[in-house]
Amino acid sequence: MKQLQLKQIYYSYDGEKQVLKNVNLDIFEGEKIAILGANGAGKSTLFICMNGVITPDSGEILLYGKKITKKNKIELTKKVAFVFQQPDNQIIAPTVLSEISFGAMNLKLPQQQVIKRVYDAMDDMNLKVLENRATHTLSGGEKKRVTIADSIVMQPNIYLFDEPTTALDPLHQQILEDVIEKLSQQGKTILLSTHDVDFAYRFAKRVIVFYKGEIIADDTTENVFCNKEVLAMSHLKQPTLLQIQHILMKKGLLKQCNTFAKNIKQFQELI
Amino acid sequence: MKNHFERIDNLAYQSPFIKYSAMSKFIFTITILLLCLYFNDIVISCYIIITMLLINVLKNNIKIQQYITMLSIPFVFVFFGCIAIAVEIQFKPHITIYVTKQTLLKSICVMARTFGAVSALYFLTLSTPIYQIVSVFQKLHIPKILTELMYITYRYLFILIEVQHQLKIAAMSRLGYCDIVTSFKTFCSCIANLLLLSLKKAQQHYQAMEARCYTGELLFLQQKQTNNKIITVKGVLYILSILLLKIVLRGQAL
Amino acid sequence: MKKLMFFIITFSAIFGILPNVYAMHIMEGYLAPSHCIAWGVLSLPFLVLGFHRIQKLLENDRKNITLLAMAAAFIFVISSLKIPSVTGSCSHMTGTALGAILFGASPVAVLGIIVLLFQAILLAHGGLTTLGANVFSMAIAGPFLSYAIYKICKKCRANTKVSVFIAAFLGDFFTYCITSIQLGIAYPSVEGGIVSSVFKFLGVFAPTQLPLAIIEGILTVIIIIILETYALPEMKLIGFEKEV
Repeated sequence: MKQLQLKQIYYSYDGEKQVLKNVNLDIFEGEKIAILGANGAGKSTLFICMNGVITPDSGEILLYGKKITKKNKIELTKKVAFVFQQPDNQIIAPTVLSEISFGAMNLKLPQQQVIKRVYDAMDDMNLKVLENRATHTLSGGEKKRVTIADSIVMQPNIYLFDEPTTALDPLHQQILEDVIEKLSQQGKTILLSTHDVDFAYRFAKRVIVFYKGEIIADDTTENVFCNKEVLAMSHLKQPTLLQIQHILMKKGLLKQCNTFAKNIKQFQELI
Repeated sequence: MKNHFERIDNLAYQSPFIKYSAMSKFIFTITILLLCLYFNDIVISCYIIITMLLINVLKNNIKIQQYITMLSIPFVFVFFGCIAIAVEIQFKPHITIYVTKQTLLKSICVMARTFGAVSALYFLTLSTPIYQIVSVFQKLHIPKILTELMYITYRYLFILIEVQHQLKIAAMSRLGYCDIVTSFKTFCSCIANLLLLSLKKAQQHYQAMEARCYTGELLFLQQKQTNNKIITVKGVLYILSILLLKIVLRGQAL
Repeated sequence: MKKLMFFIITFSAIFGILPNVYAMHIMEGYLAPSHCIAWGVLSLPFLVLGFHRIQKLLENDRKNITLLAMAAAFIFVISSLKIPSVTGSCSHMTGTALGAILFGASPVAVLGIIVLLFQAILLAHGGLTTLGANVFSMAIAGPFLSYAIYKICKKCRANTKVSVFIAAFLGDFFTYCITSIQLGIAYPSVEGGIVSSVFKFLGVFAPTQLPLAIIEGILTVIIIIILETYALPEMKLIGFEKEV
C-alpha cells in the first residue's frame, strides 16, 4: 500500500536556489530505503519536508492517499518521525526522562499512557539506567539513543534517519544498525540518508540518489550500485562486497548471475 | 570556566537530596536566607556558616576542599565591599582616612552575613538542579513564557559553553592567543562566531521541536519528587534552632 | 588623597593576581531586606515592559522562543568569558551593551533576569535576595543606557565604531556607577552620609572596573564590526539592522 506520496515537490530557502527540484516519490509500507547524495544535495531538506516541518513551495504530499495541507500537517508530523543528525540539535529537555516524554506529551495523550510509552521506549533503547541523568552529561552514543527513543515514543509509522551512523563509535554503530533493523521488522518504514555505501548496501532494499536537489536514481539496491553513470555523477563508490563479487565473476571464480550477496553471511553461502 | 561550571552543575545531580521535593528545598533555603538577613547578627551568621558547612559536607557529600573553594568565589567582592564600609574619609580640615571600631565591627558583621547567606544559597545550588528550581517557579505561577525560556536556556547554556570551548581550543592550537593584540582579535572573532553559530542552532532546534509536534507549549515529564518526613522534620528543627539561638542572644543582651 | 591612591593601588595590585573577578554582582546577603525589596520594585516596570515585548515577539512568530533562549545563553556565556590580558589577572565582560545593541534593550532586561538568576544559583555570582538590585544595575540601567546612546549616535549619523564604543563604554561604566550607588545607599558613612559613601565604593571598585569598561568598549566595537562585515544577513534576521 502506498503510504506516503510526494508529487512534484519544489522547495527553496531563499527563493532563488532550488534545494528540491521536481521530487516524485512513492513510499510503501515496510520499505527499507537508503538515500544517497553529496552534502547539500537536498537529503535533509527532503526529510524535514516529509516530516511536515516545512511546507514545499509547490507540489503535493499525500499520506495514505490523503492530501496534506498547512492545516493538517500535524498529521504528517505524528506519523513520520525524524531523527536528526546531530543529537545536540534535537535534545531540548534537562533530563533523559523529560526529553523522551517531550514528544508524547505533545501528542496530548493521557498521563498514564505517556508514562507507559516513555518507559517502553527506554526499555527498547536500553536507557533505563540513564533515566535521571542530565542530558548534557551524556556521551555521543547515549545522546543518539535518546534521540531515537524520542521518536519511538511517538509511535510513528515512518522513521527518517539523517546520517544515523556518523560520529558514532563502532559499538554504537552496531547498536544503531540493530535498532533500525528491529524497527523494520516491526513493520515500520525506514528511510535513512547516509554516505556509507557499505551500510546502505547491507541494509536497504531500495536506493534513491540525489544530485543537486533532483532524484537521479530510484531503484533496487543492486541496480543502483551497478549503475556506473549514477555512481560517477554523485561521486559514490561501489560497495566493497559488490566490488569483490564483480572481480570474482570476471575471473570466473564466481558464477555470473544477477543476484548478489548483500552481507558477509550471504556471501559465504554463495561461495 | 567550562570545567568549574559543569562541576558545580554536576554536584547537584549527585546530591542525596535530589529526589527530595524541590519546593521544600527552596522554601528551606529562602527561610534561612531571610532569617540571616533579617536578624543581621554576627553570631547567627557564624552559626549558619558553620552548620551549612556541616550540612553540605556531611549530608550532601561535598568534598570539603571543593566547598571551601566555592566559598572563596564571593571573597573578592566581599573584601572590597567591606573595606569600603570600614574605611571612613574625612575631608575637613585635612583629608584623612581612618577606621573606627564601630565601622570595623559593622564591616565584619556584613562579611559574616554575606558568607552566611552564600552558604545557605550553596545548599540550594548543591542539592537542586536548575530544572527542579524552574519547576518550583512553575508551581509559583511565574509566567509560562519565562519558565519555558528558563528550561530552554538551561539546555542551551551547555551547548554554547561546549561550542565556545571548542572554538577557544581550536584558536589556541593555531597560536590565536600568542600575544595580546592577537588574543584580542581572536577573542572577538570567537564571540562573533559563537553568536552566528547560536543563531543557526536556534533555528535548527526549533525545527527539531516542530518535528516532534511542538505547538507552542513546552511539556515534559519529570522525575517524581518525594517528601521524606524525617528530612522535613530535621529541616524545621534546624530553622527552629536558629530562632532559639536568637531568643537566647536577646535574653543575654537584656 | 595620596594616601587614598596608595591604598587603592596596593589593593588592586593584590587583587589583580586573584582569578575570576566578578566584582560587580552584589553578593547574596550584602543588602538588607528593605533594600532588596525596594530595588526589586524599581525594576518591575522595566521587566513588565520587556515581558510584553517578548510576548509580542512570540505572538508574531513562535520561532523566536529558541532565538530568545539562545540569546540568553549567549549573554550568559560571554559574561563569564575571561578577557585576555597582559597582567595575568582575569576580568569579565558584562556583555550587556552587546546584548542591548544586538537584541534591543527591553528583551535584554528579561533575558538578564534569567541570566542573573542562573549565575546566582550556578556560580554564586550575585544572589537570590539581591536579584532585584543586580537586575536593576546590570540588566536595566546598563542596557537601556547603551541602547539609547547607540540609537542617538546612529540618528546623528555618527561613525559606527564611535557610537558602539561610547555605548558599550558608558553602559559598562554606568552599571558600575549604579552598583556603587546601590551599595552607598545601603551603607551610608557616618560622616558625609550617602554621597561620601557612594564615592568610597566608586573609588574601591575603580581600579578593576575602569580599565574593564574601556576594554569592553573596544571588544564590543571589534565584535560588531566583524558581524557587520561578514554576517549582515544573519544580523538582519534578529532585527539588528531594523534597530539601527
